Amino acid sequence: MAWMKPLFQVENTMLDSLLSWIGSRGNTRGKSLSISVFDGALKPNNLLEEADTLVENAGFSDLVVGAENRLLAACGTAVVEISTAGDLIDVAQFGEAVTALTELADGRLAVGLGDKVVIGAGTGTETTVDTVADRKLTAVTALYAAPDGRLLVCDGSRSYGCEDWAWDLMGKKRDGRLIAIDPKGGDAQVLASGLGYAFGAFASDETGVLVSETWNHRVSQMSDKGVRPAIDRLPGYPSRFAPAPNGGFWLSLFCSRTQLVEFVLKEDDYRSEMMETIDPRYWISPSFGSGKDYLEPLQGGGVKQMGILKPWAPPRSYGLLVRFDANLAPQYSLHSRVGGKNHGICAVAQVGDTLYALAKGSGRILKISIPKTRATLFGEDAA
Amino acid sequence: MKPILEMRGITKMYGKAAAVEDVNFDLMTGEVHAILGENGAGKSTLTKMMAGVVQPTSGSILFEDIPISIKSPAEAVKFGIAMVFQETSLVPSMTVAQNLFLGNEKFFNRIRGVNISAQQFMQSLSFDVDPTQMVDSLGAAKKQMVEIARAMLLDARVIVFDEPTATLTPEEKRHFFDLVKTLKDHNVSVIFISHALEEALEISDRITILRDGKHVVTDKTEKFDRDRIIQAMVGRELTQELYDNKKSTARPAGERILSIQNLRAAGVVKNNSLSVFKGQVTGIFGLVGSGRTETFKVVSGAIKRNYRNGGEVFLRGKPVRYLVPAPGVQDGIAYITEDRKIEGFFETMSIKANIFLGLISKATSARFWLKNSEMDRVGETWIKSLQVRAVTQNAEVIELSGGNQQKVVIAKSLVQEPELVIFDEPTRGVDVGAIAEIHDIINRLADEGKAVVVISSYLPEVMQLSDRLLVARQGKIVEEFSPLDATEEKLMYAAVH
Repeated sequence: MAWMKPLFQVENTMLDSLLSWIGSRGNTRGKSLSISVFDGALKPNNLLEEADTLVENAGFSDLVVGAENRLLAACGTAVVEISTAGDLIDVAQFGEAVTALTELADGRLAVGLGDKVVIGAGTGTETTVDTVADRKLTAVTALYAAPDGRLLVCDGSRSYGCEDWAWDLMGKKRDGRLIAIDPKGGDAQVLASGLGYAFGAFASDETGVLVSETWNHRVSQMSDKGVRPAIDRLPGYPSRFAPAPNGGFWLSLFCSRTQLVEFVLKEDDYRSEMMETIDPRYWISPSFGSGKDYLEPLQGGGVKQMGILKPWAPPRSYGLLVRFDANLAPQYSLHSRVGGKNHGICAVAQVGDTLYALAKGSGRILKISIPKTRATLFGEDAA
Repeated sequence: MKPILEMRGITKMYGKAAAVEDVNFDLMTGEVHAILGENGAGKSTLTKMMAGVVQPTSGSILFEDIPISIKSPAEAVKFGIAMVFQETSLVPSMTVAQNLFLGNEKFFNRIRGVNISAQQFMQSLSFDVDPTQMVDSLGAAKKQMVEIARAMLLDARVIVFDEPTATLTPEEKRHFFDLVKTLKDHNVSVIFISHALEEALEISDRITILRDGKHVVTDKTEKFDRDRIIQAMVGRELTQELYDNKKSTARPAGERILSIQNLRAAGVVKNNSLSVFKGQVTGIFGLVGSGRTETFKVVSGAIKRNYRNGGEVFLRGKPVRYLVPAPGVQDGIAYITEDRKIEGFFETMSIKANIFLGLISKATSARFWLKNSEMDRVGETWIKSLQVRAVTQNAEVIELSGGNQQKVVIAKSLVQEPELVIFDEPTRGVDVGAIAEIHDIINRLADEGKAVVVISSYLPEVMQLSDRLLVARQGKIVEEFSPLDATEEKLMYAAVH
């Protein structure tokens, strides 16, 4: 019985609740700016930074595994196949930049071209979808061929195209959608809306349908009752998924969260002035890569003391890839830390024991041996 | 060298029990003499008789070959015998300088003069303590420094240190060892009681070992090694060395039960973030003042985090902010304190009553009817389970040795069936035999799937127990190590630099 508890406790609870209520009215400056920490399975390492580079091209934007373990990439306005030696072979050309890519179960390609989805590209019987539920597609950020044959489409934002994602974040938009399209007839259904930037989808029998809500730092799960957070409080910005052969999946996170960005997101006046007056490349916001231009704001990651780049300082960009099991528990992670180059991991694909990751910050496709990674992390026998 | 102090056939009886029985002891001029033994072996009693705190039942004490009778600490000081106590004997509401000169004030006392003298004296000892600070605002390590300085100020010829290094950081320990060497150079004799065997081996000239109030052996330090000391102390071969086996496997992480994000509290915890997982032991290593204890006191509700920008604590994914410990206990958090004498138990209550208090504090509503039979049953179960050694379960906790007191504190928390168990310095002031038993309890809890946190300043202990090692420095966690690749050097480097 609550009334029997010591009086001071009741008073404290009341006072605390009152202060919380006052704090929730308007000014929230005193409210905690807390972000999740890289620990446990997310303990930092340098495995992404030390990975081999298969091929480098600034135009890469997506990466998938096709039939017969073909490695396909979206590169500028083309879809290319990447040979084991790292050579690029043209598969299809488009008039616009390819923003998302997948291969359907029947072998047809599906591509996102910013504001539309083209199914069966290059076959002569293309289906183009640019409007779903009376709303035009605006930012097709990711495509995923679900096991049930449907094509999952992430429409990141209603307001801004794929290139202008930073505007969406700083504008605090929450109008992304997850859409399922029947690739045969082109019928489309909105599975979820009001998402904080949909930037990756995944489906399997064990996990159900998952979607990355990038600005909410979480992965959400579709259920009969709607959308619910499945992996919450991620320390980075989740993007695309890739299936892992032994169950579970890989999740790429294109940047780590920092308190500075969270702070800017709270400061409305500062943020609106920044958006009005400063080139988006130099905003205080997450980034796929950094260190290319001296005008970029220092976000701690650039701080050098005694000639040493401080490794614990929060970075403007970061490389992070996490392996989750089918129960949505993180198993281990690969990192490229501040000072590294392989930042902005936004797509990943596993072929046998080899993992390929797209580091958009450096324009590289990285090649990583999974047994060697496990040997480094867990002391398992790499052979 | 001739003996400055001798004790012949000394016995001290408490009722029918002998705390010290027929012990012969001698202390040479200018030597450092370590007295070792398990908790309850009689070390403190023996030295308290030298310092006049307690009177021997029989036997004689000779100071420079002259039989003396020391009736009070003041009389001991006249002979030049000073004691630095395990429990701090400073006046908390006075400044450092006032404490230093307490009892020796001049007739016309000038605060400024006292402060200056104290400052000069503390500097001469390389102790970084502000003489104008109130003692109750000092940390344990600094209080210990003031205690030591006070003994030095009395111009003592024999100084007894009872567990002087338990609360000191490694760097402060170095200072202390240098100080002992300086004392030795000035022909001051030092008696050194410690549980850290390495310290005794490093610093002393001779070692005396007591067991169950009886003298076992006195010999030159170079004739001892760790094995011989432990064997003499516990009277049995320990099946395996406590700390010598490097950990070869680590338990995998289970569900994330606790997540602390950017925590700020008590002026000591600064932007601290960490997670704790079920089914493994998370070890927290750091120097005194690194905010480890305060962080977990916030988690348990013993102290509150800052209201503004205080960060967040998530228990099983839900944000919590406990204002008092009771709701934390009800949510399955058990914090086992580092300072058991102050915060751990009611010393004049029986063992079973203390354990039963733990159980009833978990209840969400008050209970009107408390059954003695239930208290007996609960007490008996836990006394057996944790092998608390006492004559009866009606014994008062104050009568127990440090190790058994610690087991009572542990039982008092485990009876609440917590999911997250936080051990703060679980083996401080605990003898070697009980350390092994407490380590077994910690491992058993992790094997049962509970989330266990062990905060320790003792590197071998934290390395031996932990499945994950976090290093705290200046109020936050700065590094995480796997116990498989952690070394003492790496941990210490992270904790200091």
